[in-house]
Amino acid sequence: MTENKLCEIIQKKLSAQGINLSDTEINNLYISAINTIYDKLDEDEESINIADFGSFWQKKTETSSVKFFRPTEELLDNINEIR
Amino acid sequence: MNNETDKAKLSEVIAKETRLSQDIANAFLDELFSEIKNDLIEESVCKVEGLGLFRVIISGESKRILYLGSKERIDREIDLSEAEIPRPAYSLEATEGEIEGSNDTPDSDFDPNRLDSEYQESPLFVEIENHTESIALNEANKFIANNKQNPKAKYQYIDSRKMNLLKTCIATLAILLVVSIAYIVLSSNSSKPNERNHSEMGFSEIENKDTLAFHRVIIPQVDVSMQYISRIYYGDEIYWPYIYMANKDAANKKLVVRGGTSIRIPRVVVDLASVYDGSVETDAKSLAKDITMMISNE
Repeated sequence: MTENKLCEIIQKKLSAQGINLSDTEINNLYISAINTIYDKLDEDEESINIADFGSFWQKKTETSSVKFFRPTEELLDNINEIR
Repeated sequence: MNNETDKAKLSEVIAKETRLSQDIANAFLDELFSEIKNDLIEESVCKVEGLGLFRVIISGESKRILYLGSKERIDREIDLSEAEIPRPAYSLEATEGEIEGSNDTPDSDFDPNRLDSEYQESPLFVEIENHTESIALNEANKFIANNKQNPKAKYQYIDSRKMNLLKTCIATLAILLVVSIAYIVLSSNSSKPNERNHSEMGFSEIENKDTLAFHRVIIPQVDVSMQYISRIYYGDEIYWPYIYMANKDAANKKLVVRGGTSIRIPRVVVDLASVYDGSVETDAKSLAKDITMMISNE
């Protein structure tokens, strides 16, 4: 899914909730959210826990870094329910 | 991991950066991850620019999520030209029907094959599900250890080797082409002097109807002796008797052929041993002696 499409969908869903945001505001939110997650993971010993979705964390060495994600049990159950 | 950032902390940072209220930032995050989750459930794959790729994979009897973290962060800056005083929180109440009424269509642009270009070079190829953190970390450490060298450098090295090989092939082909052209030019030049010499010798060649018996059929443009013809076509004038035998009526008593007379140059078959021991030369001389006597007796 492209960034524009994702932002468009979110914009419409938020609008349905009464939160009307301009294209620029939605894009700002997207850039800020993704870059904040990126920055937080870049900090040592930092993990990000998103309820109902999963956890992100990063392992770093001098030469490389690896990002990890562990889904919540609920998300895994939802995925496994679909056959 | 000592510190943990939850959605509330994230939304706080986002609200400050975007100059929007924390409730809006929080609602945005809810929708963002809800959308990723929906895409994963419906499409089995979801790519989020700057965050990474989530993909459902089948492992044994269950499904798991493969996560490939993005190597690059989003390089665009936040545009605050429209930003004003932080907005008050909006009512987040909405009916289910309103949400379902939105145009939530599956993404048709995503191509899973594009994994190669953006993610395979990334050292972020890790699959996570119910593994314990320690197992995951061990795998990561092994992966990192195996990729200490920059993979891009390896690709660049291979590319440069390919380019060198290509250049070598092109250079070789060019040299072969030049050599071939030079050979053709030289060989064509080398044949021209012979033709010129042949005409300069004063002979023109006509069609040879008996190629088995005769080497060629010539017409001298001026009066020439049999010996001269022998020297031209056999390399030595002692072989003139063979020419005389093939053209008995063409020469006068002095063995001179008139210009314009057709002369057949016979094929003389000799073996190398005869040439070596001089028997060919002896035979020719003997034959010449007989012919000379015969002519003088006439």
